[in-house]
Amino acid sequence: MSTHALKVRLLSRRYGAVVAVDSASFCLDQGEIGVLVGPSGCGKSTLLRLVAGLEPPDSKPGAQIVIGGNVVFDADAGLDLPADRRGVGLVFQDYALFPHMTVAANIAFGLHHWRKAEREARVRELLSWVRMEALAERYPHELSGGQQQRVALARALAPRPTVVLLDEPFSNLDQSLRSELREEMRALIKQSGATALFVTHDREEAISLADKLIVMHEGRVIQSGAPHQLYWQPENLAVATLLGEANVLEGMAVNGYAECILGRVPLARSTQGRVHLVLRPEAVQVTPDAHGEVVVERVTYFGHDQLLTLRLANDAMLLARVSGVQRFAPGQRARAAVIAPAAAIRADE
Amino acid sequence: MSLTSSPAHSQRSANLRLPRLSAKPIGAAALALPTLAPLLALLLAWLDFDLATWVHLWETLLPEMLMSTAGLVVGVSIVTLALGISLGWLTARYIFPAVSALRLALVLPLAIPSYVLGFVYVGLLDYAGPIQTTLRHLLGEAFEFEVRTLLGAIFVLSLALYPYVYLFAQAAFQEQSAAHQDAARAMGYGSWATFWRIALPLARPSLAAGWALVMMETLTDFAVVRYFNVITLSEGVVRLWVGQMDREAGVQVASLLMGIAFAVVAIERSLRRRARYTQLGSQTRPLARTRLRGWRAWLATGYASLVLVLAFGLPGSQLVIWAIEDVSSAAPGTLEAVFGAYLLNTLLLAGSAALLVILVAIGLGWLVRANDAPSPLLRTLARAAALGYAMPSAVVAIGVLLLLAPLNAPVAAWTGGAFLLSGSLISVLYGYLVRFLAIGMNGVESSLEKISPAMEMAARTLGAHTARVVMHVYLPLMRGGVLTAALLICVDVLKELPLTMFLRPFGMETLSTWAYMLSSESAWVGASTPALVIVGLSLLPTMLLMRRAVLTEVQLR
Repeated sequence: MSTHALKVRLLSRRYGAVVAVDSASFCLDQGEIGVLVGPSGCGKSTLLRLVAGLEPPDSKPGAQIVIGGNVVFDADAGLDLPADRRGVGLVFQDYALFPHMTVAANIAFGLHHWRKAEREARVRELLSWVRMEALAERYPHELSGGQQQRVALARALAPRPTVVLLDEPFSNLDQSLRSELREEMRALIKQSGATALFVTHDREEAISLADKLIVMHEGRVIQSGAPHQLYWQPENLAVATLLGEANVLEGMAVNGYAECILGRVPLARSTQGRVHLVLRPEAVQVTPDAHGEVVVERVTYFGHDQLLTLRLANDAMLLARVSGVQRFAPGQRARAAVIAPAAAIRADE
Repeated sequence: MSLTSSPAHSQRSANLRLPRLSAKPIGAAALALPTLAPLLALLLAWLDFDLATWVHLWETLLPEMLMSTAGLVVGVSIVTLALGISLGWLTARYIFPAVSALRLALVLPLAIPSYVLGFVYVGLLDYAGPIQTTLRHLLGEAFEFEVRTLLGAIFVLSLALYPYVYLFAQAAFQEQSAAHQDAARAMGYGSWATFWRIALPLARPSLAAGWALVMMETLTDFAVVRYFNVITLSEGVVRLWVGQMDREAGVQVASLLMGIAFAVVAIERSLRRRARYTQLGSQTRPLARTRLRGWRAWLATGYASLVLVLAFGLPGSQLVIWAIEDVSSAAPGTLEAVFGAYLLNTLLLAGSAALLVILVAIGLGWLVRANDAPSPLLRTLARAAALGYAMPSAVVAIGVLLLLAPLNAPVAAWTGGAFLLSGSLISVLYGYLVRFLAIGMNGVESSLEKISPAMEMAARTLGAHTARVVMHVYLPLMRGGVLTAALLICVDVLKELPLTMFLRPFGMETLSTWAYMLSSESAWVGASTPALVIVGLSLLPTMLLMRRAVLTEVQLR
């Protein structure tokens, strides 16, 4: 038996002719924060519901879900534990707090098997952990969005589940609150030691939350790994474009380098043959040069940085994100250089 | 949802999880079909189509029934729409003396059932009544006018039913956004043109809903028309079935009536098709009310007050006067004994009907909801089960009787002749279930809406079993809505006349049948006491409506 807190193997779910989830596999270590990310309709929410036991996976050979060392779903053995026996906590998009119960009663809901003294102690502990002691007797409608979210997290974690699943928990919040609450929630989960699996379609949110990103596309898990690794070494174009702006250039790879319109570019991993080069805009350095071979077509200025659209010698366009210090104007000539290794995706793949 | 998955799969998961879909359509059908069955039975009666019956009907009552029904439907539609729209517009858009009080009070006539209003007006306006007597004193003995006409019936039914249109119209005019009207004004429309071109068309879906309620009540009425000597289809059904014991002709006329009721539903649906556009404006700036000044202000107050006096004040006071006369003239003890027994019967029927309807509604609501994506079939079944509300009571009653008739002989044989199924608690409760299931389902559905699917999932992942989810999540959150629905059903049963008349156990009197029996014999004074109790109890849900100030379709759907 593995030591993973959550192991998902070959899960599928079809609705009639539509395949929502297609042979998805991934795993999370104890205490790790995983993020399922992908465009809407890619099957990430369905996958989350399969893990939670709110929906049955198709019984394809080899399909299995293991949570904290316990097999909770196994197609070959015909095993399928219901949601209440899987040891998962769930935080919903709209939080789904019980409107007729106080904050304290909401948190205590999953502790009905506990002895009274222990239950009360646990509720107090969670209340102070999410800094809601003063609001224990309030009802959900008397709380702000951020407070409701903290209560939902405390409620989900109260019975000490092995894994807590969070379905787009920030999508109901103001844009201005989001990044702040994201930090706060990440810290709270890390502090609790729970393993967490988020679902989101927001790439910035996914990258900043995750220890491990699990990228889904059309029902399949197309790549998983640390955010930095996936951002700089995507294995295919879908991952590359999903996680950020990307320039895709044609090139010919020879070991650790590739030849392309920008000249010789270092590769993150060595390979051979015709490749698509994925070049992040921030890996392109632009220097004003009256005799340069590129022309600045458009400048989108953000203050702290700016996004330049450059026209290359072959009339192709290249995006470059550079610091906001230097001033650029459309029509200006410049030199472009690549300052970080590019990812090479074999053109035949 | 698992309709499409393999049978082996759904069977297996059914053992391990909440029961999945497989059992649900069957369960829903088991709950929905019995309430649909009486209507189907009436439809099936067309298989026994007998030309001779129709020829006979055509040569006797049918032309008159059709003409009077048409006259009544058109007349009541015109008057209730005129009253409801004008009063709704005035109270929603203008400020004049006593407008806030009038805005609420104009709903009050809903508490007086039309058959009560009918006998009060016949009593007041009849040849021997106080008004004609007074006029004869003033104008000479020869003065006389006939009150028992189609116009009289239209007058009474319109006064009793205009609040349905008024409630919907008022709400619609109030929530319309200022932007539309301002745009029209800016393009050179005057206030009169703005009303016709903008406000009225925008309110159309709401007005259709109110009008449909009025039509349902008009078609179901057989008491008012009887007081006023108008033979409509409903009255004809009663006359044929009870009076002439001509079952076959009664069934045929009832099915004709059912066809008209379906037409009302269809018209309402088509007028409401774009019902959503009334809500578009609700986010934007509401209209400021215009203050009326001088004679216009007093004209508005006078008009609204006059309607209120005619529909509520005058008949209400007359009822009180008669009831005092009745109570003071009765021999000591007699009234209390009779009254106590009938009140008990009424409460028994109302209570058990409410319980039955709510249980079935909860069953249906649960089944439709327990699916993540309810199948169209399931939704249609649930919708169809509520259709009885749109059907005239005489139609429902005859459907129930038709359905139970084949069971009468076996049941009678089995009980040694002591029990007649088609005149029993079972038949009358069955009738109430068919007619009032819509109210129950509406209450259950609106309370279920407060419970998001995520809330149930949250409870489950927190280790709650079905029983715990029901006890701690569903019950506490549904209690309010379900109790309100139960109260509405109780009051509707209390007021309901035709169903009770047709289907009650032999000799069982309720307040409504008692009031009707006495009033149909022109014993106004005797009828006034039970009528006053009915009005008093009906005030409860009317107040409920007034408190919300807006009819949130509690009454229907």
